[in-house]
Amino acid sequence: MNEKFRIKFKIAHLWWATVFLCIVVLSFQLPVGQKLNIATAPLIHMVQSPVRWFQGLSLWFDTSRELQLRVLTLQEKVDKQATLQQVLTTVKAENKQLRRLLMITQLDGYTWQVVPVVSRSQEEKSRRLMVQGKGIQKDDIVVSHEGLVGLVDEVGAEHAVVRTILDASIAVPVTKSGSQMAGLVRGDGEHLIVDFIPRAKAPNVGDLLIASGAGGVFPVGLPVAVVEKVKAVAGGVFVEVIASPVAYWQRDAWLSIASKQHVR
Amino acid sequence: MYAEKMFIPSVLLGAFLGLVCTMAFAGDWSQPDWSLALLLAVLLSKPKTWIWLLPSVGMHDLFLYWSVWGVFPFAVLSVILIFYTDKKIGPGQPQRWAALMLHVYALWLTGLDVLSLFLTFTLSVWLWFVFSSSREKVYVEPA
Repeated sequence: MNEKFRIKFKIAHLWWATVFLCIVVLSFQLPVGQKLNIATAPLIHMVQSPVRWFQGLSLWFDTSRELQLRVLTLQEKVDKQATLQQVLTTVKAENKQLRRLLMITQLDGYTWQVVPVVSRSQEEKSRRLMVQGKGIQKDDIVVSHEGLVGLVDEVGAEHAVVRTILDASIAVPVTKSGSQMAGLVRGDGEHLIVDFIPRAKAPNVGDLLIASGAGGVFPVGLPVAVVEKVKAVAGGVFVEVIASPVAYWQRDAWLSIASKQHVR
Repeated sequence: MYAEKMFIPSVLLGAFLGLVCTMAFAGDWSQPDWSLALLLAVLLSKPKTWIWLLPSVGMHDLFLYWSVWGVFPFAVLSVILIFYTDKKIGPGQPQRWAALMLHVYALWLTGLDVLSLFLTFTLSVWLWFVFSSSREKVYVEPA
C-alpha cells in the first residue's frame, strides 16, 4: 500500500511539474495569466458575496433622512450629466457637419458603457483590474470620471482584464492644453515617465497632460497625468519628467469603457 | 497516514483559495498574500515538497502578475539555498529565515504595500511554526 502510494505520488508530481512547464512555455506566447484571471471570475464573485450581502444589509440600518439625502445628491449629479450630454450631442453633430463641409475625414466616435470593477491586482497601485461587462473588446479604452485608466487586455464572455497606464507596456501620446508640447507617457509600475520632452517645451510641476490623439488609440483631450517632477539632464536635449495618473482606480467601484465606433 | 496523503492536495487547494481571496479583496483592504504565505510556510517546514510548491508559486505569479518573473525566481533561489546550506552546515533556522526574507524582498519588488508585506510575513511565520510543531509531535510521540 505504502509502496503503491509512493509510486502514485511520484507520477503525480511529475505530471504537475510537466503541466506547469507547458503553461510557462505557453505564457510566453499567449495571455495565460489573463485567461486564468477571467476563468476564476465566477469564483471571485462567489467569495465576494458575503461582502455584498453585508453592504445590502447595512442599508436597512441607514435612516430615511440619510437615504433621501443620498438620492438627492445622485439626482443632482444625473441632472448635471444629462445637461452635459445634451451639449456634447449638439457639439458632435456640429463637428460632423463642419467636417463634411470642409471635406475632412470623419473622426472615429466611441460608444460608452459603465461597468463594475470585480477585482484589482494586489500591488499598492493596482496595475491590473478585472471588470464585468458584455460586448467589451480588446484594446477598448478604460476611463474613470477623473481620466484615463488603461486598455482592455483580454476579454471573456462576461469579464475583461484591464492593463492600467502604470504598466510599462502601454505608451500614451500626450500634450499640454494650449501648447505645442508632445510627449509619450509610459508607466514604470509606480509612476509615469514622460519621454521626449525638449528643454524648451518643458512643462511645470502640477501641469495637466492630456491625450493628444496621435496614433488614434486614445480620444483627444482625455486627462492622463499630472506632472510631479521636472529635471533637466546635463547635456541632454530632453528633460526628465515624472508624472502621476489623474485617475485613482484603486478606489473606483465603477469605470467606463469606450469602444471605438467607426463613423462614416 | 491519511493526513500525510492529503497534506499536499490540501495545501494546493488552500493556495488556490488564497489566490481567489487575494484577487477578490485586493484594493478593498490590506490583506496578506494568503497563497504565498501558505506555500512559503510549507516550503520552510517541509523543503522536500519543493516539486509541488515551486510550480504552485509559478502559478501564483501567473495569476497575480501575468508572468512568472515575480516571486518564482526567488522561490527557486530559496530552495537551492535551503538544500545547499542544509547539506553544508546542517538543517537549521538561519537559512530558512534568509529564504523568508528573500521572499519578502521579492514581494516588495512587486509593489506590495508595507502592511500587506508585514501580514504576509507574520502569517507565513505562524504557519511555519504550526507545520513544524505538528511534525515534531509525530517525531517525539513514539519515544
